[in-house]
Amino acid sequence: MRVIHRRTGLILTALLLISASCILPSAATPTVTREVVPAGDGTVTITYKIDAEQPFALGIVESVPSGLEFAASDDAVSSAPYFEVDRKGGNIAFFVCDATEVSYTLKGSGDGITGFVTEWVDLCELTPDKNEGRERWNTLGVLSSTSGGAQNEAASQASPGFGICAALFGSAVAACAISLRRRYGGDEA
Amino acid sequence: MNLSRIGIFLVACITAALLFTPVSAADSLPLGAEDALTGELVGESVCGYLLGTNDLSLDEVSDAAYVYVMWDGKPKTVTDMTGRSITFYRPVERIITNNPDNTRLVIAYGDGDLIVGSDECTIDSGCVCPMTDDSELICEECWEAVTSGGLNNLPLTNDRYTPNHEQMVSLSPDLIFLWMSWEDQADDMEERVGAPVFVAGPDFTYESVTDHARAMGEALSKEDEADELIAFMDNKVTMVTDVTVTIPDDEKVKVYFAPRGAKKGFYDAKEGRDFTRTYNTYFPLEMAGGINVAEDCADGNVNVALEQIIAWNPDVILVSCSTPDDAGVDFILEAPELQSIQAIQDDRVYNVFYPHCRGRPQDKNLINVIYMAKILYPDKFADIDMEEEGNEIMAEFLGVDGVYSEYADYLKFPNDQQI
Repeated sequence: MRVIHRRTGLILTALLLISASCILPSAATPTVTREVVPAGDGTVTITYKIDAEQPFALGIVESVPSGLEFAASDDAVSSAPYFEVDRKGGNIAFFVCDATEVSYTLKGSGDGITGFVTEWVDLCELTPDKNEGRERWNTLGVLSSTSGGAQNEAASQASPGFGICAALFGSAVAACAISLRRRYGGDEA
Repeated sequence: MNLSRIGIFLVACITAALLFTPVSAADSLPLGAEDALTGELVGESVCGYLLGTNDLSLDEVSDAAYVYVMWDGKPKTVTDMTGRSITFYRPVERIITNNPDNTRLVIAYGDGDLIVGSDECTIDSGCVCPMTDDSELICEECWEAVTSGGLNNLPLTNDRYTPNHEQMVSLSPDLIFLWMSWEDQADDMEERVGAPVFVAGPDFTYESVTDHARAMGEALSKEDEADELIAFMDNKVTMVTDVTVTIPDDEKVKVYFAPRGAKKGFYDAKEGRDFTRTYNTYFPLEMAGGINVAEDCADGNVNVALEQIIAWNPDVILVSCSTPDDAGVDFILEAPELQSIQAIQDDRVYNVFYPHCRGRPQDKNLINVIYMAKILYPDKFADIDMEEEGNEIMAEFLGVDGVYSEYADYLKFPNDQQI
């Protein structure tokens, strides 16, 4: 039995490594993560962290739920070089080039997570399509305050995150199946 | 009556003009910028697009962002390998290649998905991904992976001899890579298709191979990828030349190289070549430490008399091979006319990889550097695993593992030939 358990562990480890290497995005594909840091003065600072090979250019747009609002002055919202605020619609957009992070601040009540919708697009991705719509837009995972658990939440790009979880889950199921097969009537039983 | 005929004639003329007028290559910067795009203009446009406060498309703001970050906001001017100058105002996103060597580099630089049309030998022959003589795909993964939708499904824009300008116009290319051998067609093609034409291709010097890689990298704004590819090739050739450079000249073997093989005998009148065709320069042979017996021939690409080959009396004969049923080596070994040659007497006649395929395939010629070294000096290169090296080289160009193994299984000689 000890031998079987050791083998199962090895198989599980191998499957995890193979799955992760297959699913993880390559370094050439940008990824965006979002972090929220609440301050004691009724403001929250939202930071996008970008992992991409330079040079790169991204567009990021976020819609803000009611209860939180932008400061009246753009200077008080963000120090990013290129951004625009739509106060009426509750949206903010950034043009980010070769910066690893960009932040902005909101005031009001809210956790900085619930109700936000964040989308981004890699502006340097080349495609032969001459009439692109929103196919290249990416959506960050929509989180609730309960799903994340903490106020300091990092929401990675939806697809890779889901893929990694799916791969890990699949690998675990596969390892269990192998283990059960060996215990209950497999080739070595 | 006359008026109606004139009317019909005019309508026909206008229709024809609309149908056959080439698309205009982009000749201005995105967003209507005059000399250069600024961060403020691009940032304002991108943010407006994201917020829906302007009417710009993703194509337009992406082009602007690309030019801003990749080219410092300015048009990019490059020079092709014949000295023709080309200016890009927008990124190259739709590419036509007209021979396999240029296709192979576009793929190597990660832009295979941008190829919208290509030539007969890229699509319907085994010049990039391997194929049998009967047009069966070898290594299907290669055919599927290197371009979007599969390499063999690309629209055909030229056969071996003739470009299809109308087809090229219909594909709206941003850039056409033209084989060096067609350089006299460049200006005409540019005018007919309405897209810039970049002439590029290597000859049989290593310098031209790296120049080609560098020029294509610059045209595609893939300078880093070009540097990496050249470093990879340098590493492979150095692995061989570090050894062969130490061999004294009087210990080096004399080699006759038949780059067109001997499948059809000494000379095929129809093609104007075969065993008696050779080159005075072939970098894999020289790097592998062989003394090319034809090195003093004035013409680089020459047919020589059989008597001349006999007079050269090479120690080794290398015969190019591209099909498994090629009996060229046996033909040479058994030819009564050649029995006085040292290579025949010592049974040192070998197949090597075919160095042509509507061009000069960089991957197979790089493989030949190593393969020829193992043939010429087996003791010095015994530790090199040819399959491992071959797979690594082809993966570097095509991004797919195991292509060499499948190609070698098809050809047979790389697995069966004793070297």
